[in-house]
Amino acid sequence: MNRTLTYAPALIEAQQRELIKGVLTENPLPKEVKEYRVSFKEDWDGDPTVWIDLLVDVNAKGSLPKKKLLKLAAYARDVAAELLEQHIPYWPMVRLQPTQ
Amino acid sequence: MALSHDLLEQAHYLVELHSKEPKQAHLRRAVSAAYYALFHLLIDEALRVMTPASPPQLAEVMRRAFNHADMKNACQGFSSGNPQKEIKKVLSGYKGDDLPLSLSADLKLVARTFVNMQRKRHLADYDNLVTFTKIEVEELLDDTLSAFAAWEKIKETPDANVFLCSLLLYKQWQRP
Repeated sequence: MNRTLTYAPALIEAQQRELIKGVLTENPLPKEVKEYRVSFKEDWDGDPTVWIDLLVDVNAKGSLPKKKLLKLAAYARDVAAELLEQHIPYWPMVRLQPTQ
Repeated sequence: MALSHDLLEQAHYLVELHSKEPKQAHLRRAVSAAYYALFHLLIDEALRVMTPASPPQLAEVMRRAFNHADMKNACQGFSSGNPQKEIKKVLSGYKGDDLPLSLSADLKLVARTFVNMQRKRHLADYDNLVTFTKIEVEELLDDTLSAFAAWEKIKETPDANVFLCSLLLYKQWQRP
């Protein structure tokens, strides 16, 4: 079975999307997060990486009140930690991004 | 103040420059400074546990033996609670754990933040196609601060000592 997966990156990505969806279901998105986006890339060293963008509305300065920022940053860290605990084969980069 | 703390302070300063319309150059330098803050913190700590006080030049020569790739690889193993074989041997030797090893959440956070920040630093310094947003950089600085705080809590533990040695010896410990 593993050999089959090795030659089917699209299938692996689909499985990882499901894994991410599951983690985000167990750790419900904070109300400030409007949606999330997932993309698979390589990092600078060529290692597999999954970017999970948490889209939030920001103020005119492109920022958030400190308290909200800390809350969302902690949430992003928790999601990344959970994905690593579940041995996701891509390094998870969970980040906050503005909706526009 | 240590270089690591100065760099973290510099990163915060850069993010707030032109805070209404932050320049990409400032945001990128902030990411880079935050990464190097953590890089130097961990090397300082590794030298603290690995080198004698005398002669003082020894620590400075050893500082140059650390490299980014090995540090990243070592950190990736600790982040997922699955470090390389030699490290598992050492850890299980005194913890008596079956796999998976029970590493502290704080140690995993430090290791994970290092890997994340190194990846972001590469983008910040080399990839002009990427645009950094202010909120993303503020989040990264908060992550780095959290890693500094987490390190304070665990730095005297045996696990931390093993972790620090692995930052330097990762490649050597990969030998079969």
